[in-house]
Amino acid sequence: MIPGTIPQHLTSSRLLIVEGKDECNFFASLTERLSIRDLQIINAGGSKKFPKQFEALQKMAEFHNLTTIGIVRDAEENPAMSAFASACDTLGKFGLPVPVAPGKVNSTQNPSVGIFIMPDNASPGMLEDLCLNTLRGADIERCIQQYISCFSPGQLLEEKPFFNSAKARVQAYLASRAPIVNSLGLGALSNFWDLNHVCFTNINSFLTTLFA
Amino acid sequence: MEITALTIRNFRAVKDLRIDGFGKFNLFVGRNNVGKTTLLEALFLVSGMSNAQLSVAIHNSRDLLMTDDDDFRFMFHDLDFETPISIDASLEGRLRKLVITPQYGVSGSFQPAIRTGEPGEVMSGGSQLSVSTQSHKAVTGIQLDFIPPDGKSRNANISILRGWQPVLPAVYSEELQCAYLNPRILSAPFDTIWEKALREKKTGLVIKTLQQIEPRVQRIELGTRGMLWVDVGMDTLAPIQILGDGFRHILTLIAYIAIYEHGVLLVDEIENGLHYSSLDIMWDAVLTASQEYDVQIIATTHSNECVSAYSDSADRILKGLDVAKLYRLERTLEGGHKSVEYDSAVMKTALEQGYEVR
Repeated sequence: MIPGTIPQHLTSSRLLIVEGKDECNFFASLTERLSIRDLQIINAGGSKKFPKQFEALQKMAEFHNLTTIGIVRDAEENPAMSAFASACDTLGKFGLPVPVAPGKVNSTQNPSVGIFIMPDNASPGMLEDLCLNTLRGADIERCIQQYISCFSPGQLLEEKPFFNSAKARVQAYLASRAPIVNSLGLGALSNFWDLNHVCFTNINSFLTTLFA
Repeated sequence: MEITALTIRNFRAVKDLRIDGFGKFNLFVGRNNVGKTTLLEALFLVSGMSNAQLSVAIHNSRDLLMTDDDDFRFMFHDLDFETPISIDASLEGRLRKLVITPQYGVSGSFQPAIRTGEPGEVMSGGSQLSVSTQSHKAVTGIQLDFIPPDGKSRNANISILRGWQPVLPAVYSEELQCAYLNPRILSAPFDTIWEKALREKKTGLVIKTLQQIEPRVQRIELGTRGMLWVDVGMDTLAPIQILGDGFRHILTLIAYIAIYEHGVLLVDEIENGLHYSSLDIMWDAVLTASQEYDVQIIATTHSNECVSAYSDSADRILKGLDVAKLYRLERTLEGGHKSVEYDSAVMKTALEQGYEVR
């Protein structure tokens, strides 16, 4: 911790746990659009760090005051059930209720708990894939594809180590916006993503059910 | 020798608290008045349970001067003498048990009291006066019943009325070395502790540890009237005071660690008086010296920067050994106490994430 910084407390009884600072910005924008109030969004790191970060989180003094916990994770390259099972394992380790399936809410115990696996509770992928779905069929989608193809003729970028197609496409899209921002979450705060798009129906429904 | 578990019942504000799995290094945080100092006092009492005078010493360290045996009440939960204090500690599986109860004498005082409408009253001149013919039960000291690891019950007692002198058990020698330091001791002149280090030929390793902080320090000499002189390579020795309070604070800690080799050091508000930029240096020195002298550290702090420095030093000095723990003391909704334990990895994660751990 950097000297002089103020440590973070749990300030609400309703907590949404996401995996990244940028995701915090995205979900701040999305939940505001859904008129979900009195919600704290907190970053608990990616899949490898999540168990340890959740352990640190659940040791906070205010954790036992929570009435609702939402967890949003990326499926990454695995099917959603793998990320879901991993998140359930972590919850179970600390005696917390687990939902029956991704996208479902267990409200039979306290706290109520729901887990959503990006992009759609089924497919591999991440939040970026969900946001890119809002560009489907639009001119900009073709431009992004042309840019990606032009960038590396004769070689599939996907074959390059550490290349992340969805993240690259998001960056290409954001580069076309003004004023320019360099992350998906900041893009959401700048209204660059159409949060009314039908592709957000599932996540909106999940958040509304959990935090209504 | 390390304390591995502790149970406190009915001691000061703590009604019931159990802590398992102490590490070699243990740092306690928690709100004001949650019982951090009480925890250290309990550890101190059970570490030297044959020494009844410690019951007075823990009050002195709070600037609470005892003038009457009734003042022992301050040790008892809810100030109630009727509920015995019980402190159990496990030292690597060897159990020590301590129970503290009041000793009663008969005051013999005749205590008339004005009462109304109770049986046994006599009427006198229109007013109601009852007379108690029972003797008043007065506290005349405390008794410490203890069972050391050999399993044989013993006891000691102390009475202020009888002149402070503790009655100690015959044929018992305490095997655990333990010291309790608070900010007052850490900032006090330390010629006595340095003299002890000299006598025990432990100054060499202390200087070696200090040279990691201040490479110019070559030796420290004991002068007259409690003066300590430091050789920092100049033509003459300089008074230790020129090195600043932070250096003296760390030097005191290291000297105690050296003297209490194979023992336990309890330190209340370990960061008190130190600038945050010195906390890394302090913890590096404490962890290094404690490993060198095999001393268990149990300390408290209010400072988040102290916790961060502790975690960083544990990373640097202990190199992956998961023996540095953080505990937060909390009151439960039921009025009891509990501790929340962070191992080294979770402590580091919580601090990296910026989560409040105190």
